[in-house]
Amino acid sequence: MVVPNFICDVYLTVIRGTPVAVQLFIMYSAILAIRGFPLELTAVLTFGINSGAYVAESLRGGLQSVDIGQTEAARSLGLGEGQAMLHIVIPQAIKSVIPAIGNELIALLKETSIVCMLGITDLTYAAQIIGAGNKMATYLAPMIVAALFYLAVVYLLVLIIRFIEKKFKQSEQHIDEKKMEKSRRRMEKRLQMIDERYEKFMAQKET
Amino acid sequence: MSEKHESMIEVTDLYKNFGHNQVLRGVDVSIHSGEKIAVIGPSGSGKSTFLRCLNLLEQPTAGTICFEGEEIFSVPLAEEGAKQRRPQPIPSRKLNAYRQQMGMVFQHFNLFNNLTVLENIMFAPIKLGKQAMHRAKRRQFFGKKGEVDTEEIKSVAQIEKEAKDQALSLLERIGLADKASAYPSTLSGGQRQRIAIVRALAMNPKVMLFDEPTSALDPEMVGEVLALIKELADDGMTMVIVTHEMGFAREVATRVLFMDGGKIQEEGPPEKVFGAPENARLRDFLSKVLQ
Repeated sequence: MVVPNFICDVYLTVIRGTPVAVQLFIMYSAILAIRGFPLELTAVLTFGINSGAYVAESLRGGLQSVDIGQTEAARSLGLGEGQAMLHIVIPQAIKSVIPAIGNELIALLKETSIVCMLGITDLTYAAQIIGAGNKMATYLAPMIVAALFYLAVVYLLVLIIRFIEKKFKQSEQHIDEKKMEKSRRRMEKRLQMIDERYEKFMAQKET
Repeated sequence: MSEKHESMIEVTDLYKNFGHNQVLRGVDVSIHSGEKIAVIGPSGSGKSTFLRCLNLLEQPTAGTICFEGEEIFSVPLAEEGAKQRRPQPIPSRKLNAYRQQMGMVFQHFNLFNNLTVLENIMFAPIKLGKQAMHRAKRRQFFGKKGEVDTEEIKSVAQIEKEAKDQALSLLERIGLADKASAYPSTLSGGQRQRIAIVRALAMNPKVMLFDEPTSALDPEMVGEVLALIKELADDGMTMVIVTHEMGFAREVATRVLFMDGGKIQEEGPPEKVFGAPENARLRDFLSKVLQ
């Protein structure tokens, strides 16, 4: 485990320790300086690699925030490390990680405006082109429009994130009657399914 | 192996260090089937560590642990001055198989927060049942013909049905059948601990380990948990209980171990340990605890 750990350490340190603009330029001018390589793909790769480091850190925080007792309980029942992680720790970690990942997603969306560095025409660059003129004031209208576009997309993302967050909050306190009823019904359905499958199996066995 | 005289768990010369902190300094115990062992002692004496070493949640530094004659863990202690060899990790399949035969109940319950009460109980039997089924099928597929009895392999439907029936009957037994679909966070401490006990029972363990099962409970809930443990004891379950409830230890245990300074200082039937303690430290401890 020493080697993979070291690789991850280097990745996190380098990516989080340097500005995206620099990373983008290095990718463009050195690492992916292949003739005919699409610029968009360079940008996608750079932002992906960059964002991955931040998301990895949030995930680590989320996984570590789950009480070690949960893993111990699963292990003491004879479940393997992977099973405990997959079915017990990760579902609990996700809940606390969603806001952080949502944040990262929003930040990423806005960060992409720097791709104009490579000459890719994105929303910001387009607004800049439209607003180009002799007076600085000509930039105002297109930039406000661009800002509204960003705002609209970000707001949509916020709504989606909020929805997901709510979905994962299920196992929180069930003081509310309606929620309790819902979980009871879900349970009953599951148990019924087990019974049905069993009956089907027995019927099949007899024939 | 089913001989009555042979011990179920045999622990010899168990040592555990956390860095330079020696927590266990040579523990020898043999636990026979049907015994109820209470481990008492002042805090920091290594009781909980001993219990956690028993099912290898904590890997001992040195010592031997045998379960039903099979050696699970064995590392010799280094000579004076020599560096202690780091123990080899135990193969996970062997470790998991060993743990399946030991139920563990924690001080802080550790119910799975993301699952309902019934799912908490069914989870391990279903998962491990399916795992065993897949293994059997693989053996059947690759192994010699006739090595695995086809009838023996359960189907998923059977595994789930059995787990469900067992979980429901266990919940019925502790009178919490109406909480089947509740999440652990909505339950009281006593209810949670009873469910944690039942969750361990669902694996049909041969031994139950209790790590201070009532220490994190409100006083009025201690009784219900102890009553359930006593019921199990009366059913003949082998158990090791780390506890501060002296009255309970005296009532239920067939043998009491007094630990202090990482060693077992005195052991014997409860009448002797509580009635006529020989060890000076035990006398001191009892006088403080029993007033």
